Amino acid sequence: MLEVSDFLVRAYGIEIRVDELVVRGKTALLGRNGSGKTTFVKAVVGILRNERGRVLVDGVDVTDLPTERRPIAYLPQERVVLPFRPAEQLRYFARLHGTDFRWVVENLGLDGLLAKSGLSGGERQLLNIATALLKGPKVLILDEPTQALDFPNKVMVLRTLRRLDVPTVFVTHDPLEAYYLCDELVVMESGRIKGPVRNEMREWAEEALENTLKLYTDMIGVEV
Amino acid sequence: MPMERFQLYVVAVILGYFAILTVPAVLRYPLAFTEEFSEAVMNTVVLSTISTLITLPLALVLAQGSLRSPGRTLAPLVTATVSVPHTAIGVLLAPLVFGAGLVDTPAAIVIAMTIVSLPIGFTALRSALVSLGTGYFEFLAGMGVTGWRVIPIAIRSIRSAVVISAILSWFRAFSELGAVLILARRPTTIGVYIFENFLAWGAAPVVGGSVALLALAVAVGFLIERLTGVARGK
Repeated sequence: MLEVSDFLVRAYGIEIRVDELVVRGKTALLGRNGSGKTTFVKAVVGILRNERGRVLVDGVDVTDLPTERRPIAYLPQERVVLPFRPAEQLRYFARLHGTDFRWVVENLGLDGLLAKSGLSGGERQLLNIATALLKGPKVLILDEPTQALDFPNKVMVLRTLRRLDVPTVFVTHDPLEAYYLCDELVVMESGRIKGPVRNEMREWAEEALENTLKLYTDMIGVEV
Repeated sequence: MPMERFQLYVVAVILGYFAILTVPAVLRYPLAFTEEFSEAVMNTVVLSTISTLITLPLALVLAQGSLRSPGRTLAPLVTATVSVPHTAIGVLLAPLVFGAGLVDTPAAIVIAMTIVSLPIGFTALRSALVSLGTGYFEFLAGMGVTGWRVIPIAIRSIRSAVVISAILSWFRAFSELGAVLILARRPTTIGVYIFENFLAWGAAPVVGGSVALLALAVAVGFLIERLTGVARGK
């Protein structure tokens, strides 16, 4: 569980004030461009320093820990391409964290990815999410992980994320994704968080997403 | 076809630039080489290589460290020597080199070469690291990879930049004259050889060597274009 309280960050010309945010399951952090979503999560992860407030993970205060020592895995907004083949990347980080990468591969159903060398954008994101899980994080923070992905790739990533059982902050500006994936939604505007509200639209989002996907399957033969 | 005409102008200017540099000298003087010239080239090759072996790892560490403060704030201290006449660099290094009894030694030349080539290698590597994006390093930090441990991973991501940095550093060292002239005229490096022979005999004995050096630099220039993908329109 992630708890952020009495939080104040000033960076990139914006001031973020969050009285309280509690993440138990999957929480969507929605908001317009420039509303402060990325600045906020970067401070929660420890990349930016907060001026005030605490970050607790499973009740343990991690506010003063550096990024690398927080039990939080973070996938930034930019496309990250590490210079490894897929299996090599998982093996490297598994060894670094003393874990076995096979459980991640099996859990996420990524067997087919390991032998590949050229990955699609969606596959690349899945590989990075799998890599992030090798840290054994207690919280996962994904900053617009489906940004710049085409629709089938987006669905592939979202379906995989639904299988994860780690408290997750899912940053997005797409309400459909948020409805499809998350249990709760919060909205950030001008550095302030509104919410949370329970996701009552999941069935509608599933239907919308699956119907759109069916269009791809029927009309252009794309299988996801 | 305005674009094609523009390209013609570009080609004419480039060839004109090169012609000004080479044609009058080649037409006027014989392309002769002396044994001393070859010896000076060999000295310079060896010393430039030693200098690059020092410069490259140093440039990598500094470039990686300069992506964040305090390294980022201090980066101009590394690049400043580019804008200072290299004779001034030689004068500034003189107390150290003279004090250590290194005047006219290979060590003095390597020190001068390293000081002047470091900013070149550093800048090439730093630009390549910056182009990886902040997310690259933030992801690695989140995965527990920080400081020294980032370097082997980043090297793999910017392989061609590392090669280019090495080539540029090596050539910067190879072509150094100003600082070397102040600190060590012996063993004779190629810049000092050309300078001294020109003073003693005029241009005739050194035009051939100078043209050969230019031809080598052109070949490397094309190699770098290939490596960076510019020549292929990337």
